[in-house]
Amino acid sequence: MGGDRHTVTVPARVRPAPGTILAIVLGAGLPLAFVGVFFAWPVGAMVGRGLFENGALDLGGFGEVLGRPRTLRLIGLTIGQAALASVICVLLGLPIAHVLYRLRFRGQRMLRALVVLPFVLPTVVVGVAFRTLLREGGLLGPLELDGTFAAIMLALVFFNIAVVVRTVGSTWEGLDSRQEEAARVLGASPQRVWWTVTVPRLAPAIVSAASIVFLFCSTAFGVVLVLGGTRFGTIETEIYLLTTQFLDLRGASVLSITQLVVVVGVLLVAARARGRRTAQRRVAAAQSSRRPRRGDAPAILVTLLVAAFLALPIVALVARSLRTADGWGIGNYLALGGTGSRNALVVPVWVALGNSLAIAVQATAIALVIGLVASLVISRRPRSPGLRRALTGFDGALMLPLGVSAVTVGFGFLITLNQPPFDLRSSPILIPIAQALVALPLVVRTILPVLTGIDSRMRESAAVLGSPPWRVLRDVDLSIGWRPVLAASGFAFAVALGEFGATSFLSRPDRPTLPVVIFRLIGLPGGDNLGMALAASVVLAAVTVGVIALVERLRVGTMGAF
Amino acid sequence: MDTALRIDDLGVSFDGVAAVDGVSLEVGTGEVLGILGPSGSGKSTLLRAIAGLERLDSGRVSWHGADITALAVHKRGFALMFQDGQLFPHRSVAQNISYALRLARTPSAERVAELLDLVGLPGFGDRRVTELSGGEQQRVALARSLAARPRLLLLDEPLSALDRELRERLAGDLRRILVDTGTTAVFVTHDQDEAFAVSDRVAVMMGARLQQVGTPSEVWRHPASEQVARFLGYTTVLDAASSRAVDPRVVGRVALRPSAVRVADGTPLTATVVHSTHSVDGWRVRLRVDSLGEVDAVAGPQHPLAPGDRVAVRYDRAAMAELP
Amino acid sequence: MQKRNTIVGLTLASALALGLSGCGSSGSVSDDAQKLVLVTHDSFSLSEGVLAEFSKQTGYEVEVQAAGDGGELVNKLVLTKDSPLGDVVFGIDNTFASLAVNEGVLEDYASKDLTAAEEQYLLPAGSGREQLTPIDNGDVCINVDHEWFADAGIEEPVTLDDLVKPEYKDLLVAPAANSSSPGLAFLLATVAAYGDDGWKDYWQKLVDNGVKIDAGWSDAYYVDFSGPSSEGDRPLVVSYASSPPFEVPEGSSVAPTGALLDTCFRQTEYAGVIAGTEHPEAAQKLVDFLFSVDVQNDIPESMYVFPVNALATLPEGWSDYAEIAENPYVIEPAEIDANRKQWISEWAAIATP
Repeated sequence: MGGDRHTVTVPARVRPAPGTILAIVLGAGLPLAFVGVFFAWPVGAMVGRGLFENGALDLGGFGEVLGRPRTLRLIGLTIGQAALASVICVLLGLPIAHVLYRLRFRGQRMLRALVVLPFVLPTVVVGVAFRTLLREGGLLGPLELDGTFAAIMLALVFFNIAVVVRTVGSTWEGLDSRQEEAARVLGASPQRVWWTVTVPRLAPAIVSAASIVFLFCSTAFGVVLVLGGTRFGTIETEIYLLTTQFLDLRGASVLSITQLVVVVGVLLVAARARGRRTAQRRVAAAQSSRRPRRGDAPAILVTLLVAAFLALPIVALVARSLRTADGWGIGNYLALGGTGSRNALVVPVWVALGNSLAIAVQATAIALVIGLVASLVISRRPRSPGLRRALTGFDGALMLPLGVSAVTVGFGFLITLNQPPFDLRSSPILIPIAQALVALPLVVRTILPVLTGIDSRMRESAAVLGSPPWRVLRDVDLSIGWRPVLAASGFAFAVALGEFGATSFLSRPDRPTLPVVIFRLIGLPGGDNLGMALAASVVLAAVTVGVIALVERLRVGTMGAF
Repeated sequence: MDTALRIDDLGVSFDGVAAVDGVSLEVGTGEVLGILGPSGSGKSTLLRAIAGLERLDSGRVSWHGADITALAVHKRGFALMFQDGQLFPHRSVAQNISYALRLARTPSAERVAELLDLVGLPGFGDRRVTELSGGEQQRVALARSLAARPRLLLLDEPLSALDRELRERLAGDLRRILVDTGTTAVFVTHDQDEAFAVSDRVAVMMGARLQQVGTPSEVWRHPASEQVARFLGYTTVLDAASSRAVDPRVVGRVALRPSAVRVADGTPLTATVVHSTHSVDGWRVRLRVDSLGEVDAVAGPQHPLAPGDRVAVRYDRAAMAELP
Repeated sequence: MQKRNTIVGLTLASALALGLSGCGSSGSVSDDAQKLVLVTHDSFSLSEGVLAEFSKQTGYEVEVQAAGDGGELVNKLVLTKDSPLGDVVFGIDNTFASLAVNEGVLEDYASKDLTAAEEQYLLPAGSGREQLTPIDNGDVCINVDHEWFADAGIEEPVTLDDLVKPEYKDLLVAPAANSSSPGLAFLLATVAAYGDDGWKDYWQKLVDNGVKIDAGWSDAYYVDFSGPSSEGDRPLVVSYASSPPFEVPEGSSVAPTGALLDTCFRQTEYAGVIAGTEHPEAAQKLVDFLFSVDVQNDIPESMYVFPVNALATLPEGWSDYAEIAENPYVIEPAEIDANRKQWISEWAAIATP
């Protein structure tokens, strides 16, 4: 009971293990440095070029550029099509999420994997496939959708429905259904249960998914360029035009900043929604899923229709690739060993595939190391609210590369990375770096939720049992986190394989990647070249599918979920 | 018994609110100290502070006289067991148990088998922890904690997640294991039956402060304050006059459990029934005893009771306690 | 389960090792040889061994860096004026030449091997005559599908005026002027033909006559054109004078498509020495090399355009199926530079409302 002495001195604090400070500094510093040097600096330089006239800040550009009727129209169009696409994705994605994550049936896992595919397919491939499908004479030609707003909508939904399905689905899977059952017993009809119990619980996931879809749609470039034809543009395509065609850096900067503001706003909304989600309790999937019932018929119908819609462009692509000058056959595929009619390419397509694979591996390694380190740091739960806010900000900063124009980044590389120690302008490492920039947010989004889901008491148990901090990291965090790490690496690999925007900007002619080659083959005269482009697209899609299928076996639900 | 763990004037606060306020304790070598208190009383925080997981605002923690306040968590040689075991998933039972042994670089299959026998799970070594029931997981957690012969075993509500029957059984087993292995232990609970069954001494903690420390029977018979008494289940506290009416020898106030007043036959004390409810072995009633006022009481099933009935009562002194 | 995951892990790990091993072998230009960087556009291509000839002659290795299409290329040069991207640039065309000259990204050097025969390709003085050497010529003309018109029994159009006639309604497809360089060339042709006041009316008539605007040349050519290697149904497309030879099937001697030579816009590509290069003499030699007969002979098969050197010979069949327009439309580079932006935005308002 009573102590014999009343200590008034402040007690000694437990000193952190040696190297902990260094580890944290490195852990936060490395990702920040990466994003800072290869993203913030080039983008800042480009924007600065536009805003600083002869060394003085000139904000008049804002008024001038934003006042142009064309600009206003484009901003309205950008936000409009992004909002509309988000709504459609949510409306279609919810029943699909229900079918794929709340019911139990054979082949379900394969369907889940298929849903992710459109997300990782290269825009080049998808653009060609959709064009082939929609123009007059194509399978959906009679619908007369070519070059219309509806065509863009279709492509955007095609790409992004996976985000909604995976994000909402993985949350829904872990929701305890007893709340719904309690409501039903109390007398609520299924509709009432849906609107008053389920939807509020799913709301954070829906908001998170919708905001990410909005983000991807408002920054979509290749899709809008290919399918929107000439009538429809977005802020992104306008930045591209202003920078490459007119060298109107002022206009491009103003638009970049506008785009950045929109992106940051959307990311904040998504982050808030994410925060609310992690606080919910999860139950095991086996507990929450059931066999399909008659009442599920509408949802199943929607799922089948959307699955058919997702498969259609790919099927059309494959079919078209099998059509050669002599009728049906695999001639186009055999031609991939050559360099196209009349030396279209510098290297055969298979070599380009090899290049793609090698570069993607490098990009994956970079993204994985940096993403893992960042995830480990962000998943710590410090006591002080200030530090927690800093970590949230850190997380958000890593997501930014998703939302900034590849053109701005590419040009930015040109004007910033030209002096030692960063004289990387003509170095081949730049392409993996650019691809890693795009893959990094996806890696973090895959690994981080699993790490934050680890009960801190497990770490504490290990620590008290005698495990020093680095070993706790290894024995608890990494032993639980290795599956999402593997999944993230596969995901990053697939995304890097199909990356086109930044790569086309930076790639060297003697070492092209497959998407660049496809684009080149499409752009050159000679009927054989088109056939080869289609065959190469199918090969690229197949490799991507293969990697994703392999990764799906790990069953990491956070992949593709935001 | 010499002092193993000593806490002097320990204080921990979060965002300016004190979770532990000026707590001082001693635990002897081989002793089991139970910290009993309602939820939110700060007992878990105190335990975590002993382990080094919380930063102290004030006070000192010493082990056999040496100040360990600044010693790193993993160097203290303690062990900590949680309410839900926190076993490492996807590893076998044996791998979990031998974790501390591997950390100390003294892996030993015999020791693992010995511990499995000790906790009553012989042959479970190769099972996956995800396949175990709640009770089995807690046993494995206990085995894991004991594996490296910790200097001090800390248990945070180890049995609270189990159902009643299992809890009672495991409480007995826990005490037996701790005593047999001579482990110094501090454990935290809100269940007084558990505290009294397992501990050598009990410390009652309420509102971030220690209210009383003593053997279970001391605490039981002489709660240090009305607050403690009520926590321990004494539902009525009489004023001085009524206390002397009940027992002329007492100096302070008397606290009554419901079972202190029994409906009986043919006693000189009479009371009127205010209201009554069925209980497992009879009735729980509220009586207005003539010389006392309203008290809680019990009755056997053979006494039909309706509000307004007049009954005779007797006192059961075992269910009374004297407050200072 | 554990085993399967181990296999996945090992596969990915070995792929990682393989990829990282590729790290070392990239960029294997040996350090002891001198290096010249040739900055060019995406469509640059020469047969294997051609550039090696240059190395043998001068001891300099040529490293080719693609920098986007024509407009992008010039803009990148302008952006990086202070620290040049390379030593020699190839791919600046007449629509962007003035911009390059005005921004001072080029040194004053034009190949001394130029003769009077190439006069028609030279830029005016002050707009690049002293800084740029013509290398190839790929006029942009309307391509026509002979077979379609034969089947339909309609006479083919000949001039720009014909394109707005009712019998050619809904038959023309063109890439957009603001996102495609042949599209821009076609727009410039109409400006040259009808003048600053008349071209807008012409385009309005084109739009009324059902012209289809695609985002890029490949969409227009491969998806909407009705030619043998395309799958569309419009028999008139804006393309290059050099496109018809590629549609001729192996062994045949009939060209299914042709170019309407009265609708062509002169599009010549130039090479020049980048200002600030560290190897001026070697750079000049490279410019000369690009103009040399051996390279010029290789250009048609490699880049699908015509050489400019009068001494160059066209490959077999080219002269049969591909013609160079005698009087293509031309606009002064300085004028293009001054008005391009305005013309494009006015065009966009009419053609893509």
